[in-house]
Amino acid sequence: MGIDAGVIEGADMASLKNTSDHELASIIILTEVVGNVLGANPVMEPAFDFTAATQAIYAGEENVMHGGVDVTQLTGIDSAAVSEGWDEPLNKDQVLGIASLFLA
Amino acid sequence: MKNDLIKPQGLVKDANRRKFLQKGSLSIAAAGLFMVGCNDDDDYMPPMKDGVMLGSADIGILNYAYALEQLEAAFYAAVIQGGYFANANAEEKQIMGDLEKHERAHKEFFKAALGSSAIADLEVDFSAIDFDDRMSVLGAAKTFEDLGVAAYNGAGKFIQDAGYLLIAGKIVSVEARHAAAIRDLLNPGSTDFAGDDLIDANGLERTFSFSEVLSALPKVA
Repeated sequence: MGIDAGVIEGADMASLKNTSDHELASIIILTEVVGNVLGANPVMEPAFDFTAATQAIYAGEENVMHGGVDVTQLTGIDSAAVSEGWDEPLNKDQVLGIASLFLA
Repeated sequence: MKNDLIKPQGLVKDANRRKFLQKGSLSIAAAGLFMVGCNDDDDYMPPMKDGVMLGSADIGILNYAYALEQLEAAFYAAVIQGGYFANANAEEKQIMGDLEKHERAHKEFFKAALGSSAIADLEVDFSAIDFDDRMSVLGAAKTFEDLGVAAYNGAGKFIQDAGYLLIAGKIVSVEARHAAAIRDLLNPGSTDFAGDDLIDANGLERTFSFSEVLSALPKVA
C-alpha cells in the first residue's frame, strides 16, 4: 500500500521494495508453517486502516535490566547505550494492542 | 520434519564469506573453540588440541556467545582507538561509539552471567585490519556483525532455558541492526542493509551451525 502510494522516491523505493519482498516472503512461510507443519488454520488477512495515528509507545524501550542484572551498574556504560544493546520483547496483548490500531 | 521446512535455504554456506575469512588475517590465539556434549551430529565439533573448552549444553552456548561478543568488543575497542574513528564524520563516530558500547555491554553481561563457567579472555590478533582505513574497518565490522547474527540464529534451537533464549533473541536483533547500519555506511541508500547475500527467498537470514562458525573463527587467522 505504501509502495503504491506514489510518494516514495528513488533509493527509498528500492529499500522499501526490498523490505516489502521480505515481509511477503514471511507471510508465505508462516502460512506454510501454520497450515502444513502445525496443521492449523492460518488466520485470514485482516482489513487494515493505516490512516490511524501511530502510537510511539513501545514497552521496555528504556530497560537496562537484562537477565536480572542491571547492566549499567555491571559495566558503567550509560543507560542509553545499554537499553539500545538489547531489544525488548512484547507479549501478545501488547502486540495486538498496537496492531489493532491499524485494523479497519 | 518441521526443521527441514523452516530451515532457510540461505544457510547454505556463503563461499565468498568463507573465502574472505580465510584470506583476512584476523586471528584468535587459541587453537580453536569447541563445544562438548552437543547432541546434533552435524554440529559436533571434535576436540582440538589446545582449544578452548566452551562447555556443554546451555553453558556451552553462552560461552559461544561470550566468545563472539569478546571478538566484537575487542574489535570496536580497537576501532575507537584508530585513525579512521579519529577522522570520521559525526554520524560514523556516533555509530561506532554506540556499537563499541553495545558489544562491550554484551561481553560483560555474558561474563557475569557465566560466572566461574566463563571462558578466559580470548587473545585476538587484528593485525590484518588497518584501523586507519575506513573501508578496512567497515569491511571487518560487516563480517563480524553478519557472522554474529548467523551464529545466534544457528544456536537458538539448542538453547534449553527459556530465559537464555529470550536474552539471545534480545541480542540477535540488535546485532542485525548493527549489520544493517554498517552495510548502509558501506553502500548508502541501497538494499544492502538487508541484502540478498544474507536473506533468502523465504525472507529468512542465514543460520550458521556451531561448526561453521567455530571453524571460521580460527581460520580468521
